[in-house]
Amino acid sequence: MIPVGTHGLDCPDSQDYAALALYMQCFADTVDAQLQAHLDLAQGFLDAPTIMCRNTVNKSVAASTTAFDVFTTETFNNSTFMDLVIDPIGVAPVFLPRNYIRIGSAPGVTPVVPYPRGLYMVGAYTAQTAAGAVTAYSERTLAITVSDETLPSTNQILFFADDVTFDTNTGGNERQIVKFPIELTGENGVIVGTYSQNTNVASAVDVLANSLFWVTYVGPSDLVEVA
Amino acid sequence: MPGTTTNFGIRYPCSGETINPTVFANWADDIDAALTDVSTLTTEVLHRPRASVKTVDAGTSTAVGALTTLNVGDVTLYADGVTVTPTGFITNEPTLEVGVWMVTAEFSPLNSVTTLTSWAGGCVTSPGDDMGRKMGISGANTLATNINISGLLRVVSPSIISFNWLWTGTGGPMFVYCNASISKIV
Repeated sequence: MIPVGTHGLDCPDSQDYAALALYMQCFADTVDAQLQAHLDLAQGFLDAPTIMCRNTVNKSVAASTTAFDVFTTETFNNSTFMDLVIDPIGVAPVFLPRNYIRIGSAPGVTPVVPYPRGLYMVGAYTAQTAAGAVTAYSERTLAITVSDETLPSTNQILFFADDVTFDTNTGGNERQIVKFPIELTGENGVIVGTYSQNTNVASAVDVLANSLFWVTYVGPSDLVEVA
Repeated sequence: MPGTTTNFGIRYPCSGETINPTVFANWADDIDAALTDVSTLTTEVLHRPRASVKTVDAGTSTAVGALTTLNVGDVTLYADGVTVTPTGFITNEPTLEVGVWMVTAEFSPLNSVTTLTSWAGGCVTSPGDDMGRKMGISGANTLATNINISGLLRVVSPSIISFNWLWTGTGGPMFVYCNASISKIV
């Protein structure tokens, strides 16, 4: 066989014609494998692993408390390595409700769920409105944290961003939006959580149903540019 | 009885089989069909539905206290697989109408009003999701600052993605310029 081109293909030499059937099989198998690799790459781009979550009912948050469990329901998930996890923290009978999106596996859990390292985009949106009276110019906060549970407890947060808006008591909902990229290169999975806070002492604040929380995989971050 | 490859079913002759022109033709035709599959998907990758639009420079007139859909489709900067209307995008990808879209908008209020207490820019898919950001100020103010929103929204059926503005205070109208883009993620 004589190698041709740069894709691992051969063509028969003059003494190879007795093996023509074998040649056609090898050629077809090589083409099949090469094209499937291209197809997988393209399909992976079209099906970017993404998870989207909502809250199906209003979440009431009292002033100066922190709600870690606003988002309760997956509305879209085409990934094999991200899930919305309902995971209260604390010791019985006192639990602090906490919901988050886990990327990969929890520490020490087998089988390990592999997840692609690289760039992700995370984001959330909330609409908040006071259930009763409004404390004028009180704050409404939406925050996202990305944490590595295997790190010391005081140093687990890898990424953080928040949006703090003010209720001017002019009616309507107060709306917050957070979005930022993260790069995951570690050995273990991470958790992406949200929390909602407010300083409306005059009444509790409802985080309205159908707010949004999402994570999407952008792609690997270790691509090398070839000059 | 020819063998076939694992993924694309490319036929090839097995040991002892007579190799005639038909065998060669089947082999070549199957390779060609496999190339067409890849080419079709590559074209889809290169033409992900997306669009970018903006308001005319004068902006859209918005009255105080009235949620107003902005005329973002005045100028189409780019559109592929999406129809642009004066009031937003229609997601009309030919093979799959539903999906997840990255939506970004920059709202720029253009003029002062008599007094200003709050202002908000938003985006909505109908039916589907919505998102936005609301700003407020405690001191005397007449000119709103820009608002940028960006995030994922689901389109659960053929849908219009539109952008809106709401402000409170007195006077007006407030003219608002908007530059918006959408791109399909899934």
